[in-house]
Amino acid sequence: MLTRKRHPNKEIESAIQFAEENSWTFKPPGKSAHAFGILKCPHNDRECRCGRFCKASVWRTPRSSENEAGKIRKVVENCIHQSEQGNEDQVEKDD
Amino acid sequence: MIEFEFQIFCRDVDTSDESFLDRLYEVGCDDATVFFKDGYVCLDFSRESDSAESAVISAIKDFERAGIGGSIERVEPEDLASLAEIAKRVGVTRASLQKYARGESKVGKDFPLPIQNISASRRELFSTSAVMNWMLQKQRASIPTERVELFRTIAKTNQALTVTKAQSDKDVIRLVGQLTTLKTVQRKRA
Repeated sequence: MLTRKRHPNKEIESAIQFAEENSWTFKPPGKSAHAFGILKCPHNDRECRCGRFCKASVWRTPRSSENEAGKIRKVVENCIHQSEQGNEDQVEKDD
Repeated sequence: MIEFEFQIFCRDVDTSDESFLDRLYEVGCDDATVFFKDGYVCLDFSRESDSAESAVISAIKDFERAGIGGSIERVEPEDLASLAEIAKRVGVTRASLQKYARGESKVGKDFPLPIQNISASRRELFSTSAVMNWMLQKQRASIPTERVELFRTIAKTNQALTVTKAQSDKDVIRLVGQLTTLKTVQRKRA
């Protein structure tokens, strides 16, 4: 199932998987040696936080793995489409 | 050492390939997660430092040293915010903050006045650090002083960025020349 390499850090790997579960796509780091990869939001929407957070670089060895993982999770959770999806889920549950 | 969380927003960076990421990493921005798109770059920092000022300024200087061009627009989280946002930042309910703002509470009617009013949306904006200081003074919230310091530092840094950029704006220089001698224009407090 996993077509990419796992991030050597467990916390960050789990954050990447969280992003992927929310339809973010993982792309290899291209010309960067220090990035592990790039996460891309499926919506890529200018309306969402002015489009500034649609693409995130994930470091191979950040200063703090915990902080890096936390920021990846936060950016996925704060996507405007994420909350729309969340609301839909909520409605389904209510039904 | 204290950890400060803030973002630096930049534009006009060459993001056509990913090599700018390595330059950022190599000058010490490995404590920032980098977001980027079409030349816009946002560095989301968790920076350990002795003070908010040294955290923010060292981050800006790191960006400069990376030599990836572009221009720094602003630092966030912006001090100026709606009451709802400030309530979240302080960790109290929006309703209780509104009560204080309307002077309906026993703790006092001297709540900081809004700094700006966006007339179309009738939304008032307040200074986060001023509200935090007021809450601390009235013992209505426990907020680490370094958090208040961070908002104050960001407000001052953004003002400094604006002033610095304005020095190359002929219209601004001309208007400053006309206004600078007026007593009613000069700032009263630091």
